[in-house]
Amino acid sequence: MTSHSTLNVSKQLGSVKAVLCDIHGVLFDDGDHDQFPIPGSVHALNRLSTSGKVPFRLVSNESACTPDTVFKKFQKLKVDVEKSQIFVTVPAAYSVIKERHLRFLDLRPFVLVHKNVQHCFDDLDQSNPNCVLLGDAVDNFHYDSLNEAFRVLMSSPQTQLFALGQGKFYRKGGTEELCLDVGPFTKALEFATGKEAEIIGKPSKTYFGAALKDMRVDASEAVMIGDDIVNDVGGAQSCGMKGVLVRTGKYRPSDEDHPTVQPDLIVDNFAQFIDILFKDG
Amino acid sequence: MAMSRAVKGLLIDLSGTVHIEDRPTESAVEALVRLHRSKLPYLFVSNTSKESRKHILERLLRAGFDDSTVDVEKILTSLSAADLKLRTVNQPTFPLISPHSMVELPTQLMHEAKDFSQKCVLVGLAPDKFTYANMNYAFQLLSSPNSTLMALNKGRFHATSSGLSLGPGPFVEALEFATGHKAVVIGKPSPDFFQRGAQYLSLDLSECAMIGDDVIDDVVGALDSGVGFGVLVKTGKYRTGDEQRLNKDRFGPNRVRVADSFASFVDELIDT
Repeated sequence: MTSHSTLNVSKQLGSVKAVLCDIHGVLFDDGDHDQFPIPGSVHALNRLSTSGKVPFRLVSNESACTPDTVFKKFQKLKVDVEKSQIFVTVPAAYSVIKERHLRFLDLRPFVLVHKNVQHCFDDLDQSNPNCVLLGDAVDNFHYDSLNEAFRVLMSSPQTQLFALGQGKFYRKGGTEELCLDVGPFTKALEFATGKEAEIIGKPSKTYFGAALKDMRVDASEAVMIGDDIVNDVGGAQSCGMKGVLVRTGKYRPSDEDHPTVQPDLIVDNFAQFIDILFKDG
Repeated sequence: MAMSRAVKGLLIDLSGTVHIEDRPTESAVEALVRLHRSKLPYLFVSNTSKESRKHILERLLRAGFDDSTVDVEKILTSLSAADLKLRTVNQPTFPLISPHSMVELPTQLMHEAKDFSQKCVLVGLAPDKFTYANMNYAFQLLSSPNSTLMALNKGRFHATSSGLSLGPGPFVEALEFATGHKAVVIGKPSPDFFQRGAQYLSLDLSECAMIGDDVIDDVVGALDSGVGFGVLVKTGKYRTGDEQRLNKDRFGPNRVRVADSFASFVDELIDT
């Protein structure tokens, strides 16, 4: 079991030229209307931001918000980030569908997402849908909506399923309550139809790649820090990045004995990670 | 046809094979009369988790089946099989099943209040119950140790008058994925279920033929469980190309049949 040590950190992380940071479970736990900053995270993020030494992007599978809503919440909590540093799945999904539609694939999505972001897809043609887009729809997930998505997928062998991430569950902010994420419902439709979903979000290489490209760094020079052993840490390592696991958010002790993913570093929280990063110069 | 000599009893799927909702499949009523007259033992084996056997019987009679050919004693459902299993597990159970299927289950074990007292979650086909709140509660129950996930069946989908509709399988799969649980599956294609069917007919599994419209849950599932013969019918949820999934290489061509319908298979079986 790894723990932080100022002697070994450069071995574990190498030379760090950029940081990708998960939001929920690392910086905040989140509920419907409130933000619950994880102790020390806001201060640590501002430290990273104001130092200017290491570029960073916040890379989240949050599919119930836009960069704008996240930015506004951050402003309220006096977090020093730019809107352009915030990567969430809704704009990525919109781009994917719009771009493929423009390339004459004529994609018309059945959109089953959180009510807060339904409007983001309004200017896409959703009549006679020929593909399905699934997000963290919460109460919008029920038999009838999933059945409708199922029927769209079964209407032809070509109809595709897009999912905004594949997380199993997340922790509802300010509580101990675990809530089903989009992953289980994606699996439900995959099981019913025999089709495989295309994931827009972590751990997709394309999604991580967009953030890396934006910072003009190579994967090997970047570190991803998150609370999801599979989608954050494993996903980052699959792209060639270093993966750091935090012991906050959806972390569970059994994650440290994961059968396939071994984090490059495990820290108690984001503040500890920033301490290590800056101690190392 | 070699099969007609070797088949000593029939396990017959209901929905999609013998009827679709309130209508019989092509010539099914007459075929069943002929089957009954031939004295070949048969048992209806249904994965339904929505209806009691009495409801099923009433539906079959409404569809025009002769009352000499159908009876509750001739029907085995995942609900009736679940009764024994639940008594064995003997834990308070959160039921994601339809209200009128509760009659076939030990009601003293069914507990609907969201008070975290349940150690078992039972999933059947219950469209009205598959809300996010209920799924999330089931997930939370199953996240604690020593909990059991029981599925009446893992049907992917079935044919209805309005089109294909999701079965309970996808919802079970969702809970399995979220929690790491492997569900205890009561109905087809569980070997225990086919075994129980053969027992009801006082036959060995190998002497039975299973006939149904679901290539995986009915036919391949039966063959995998040791049922002697599997017959796929092209009605109900059958889709073109399903016969490709019959794995004839594994089972041998003599154990596998494809028929246009239940009636056409019965005609072949009885006429030879």
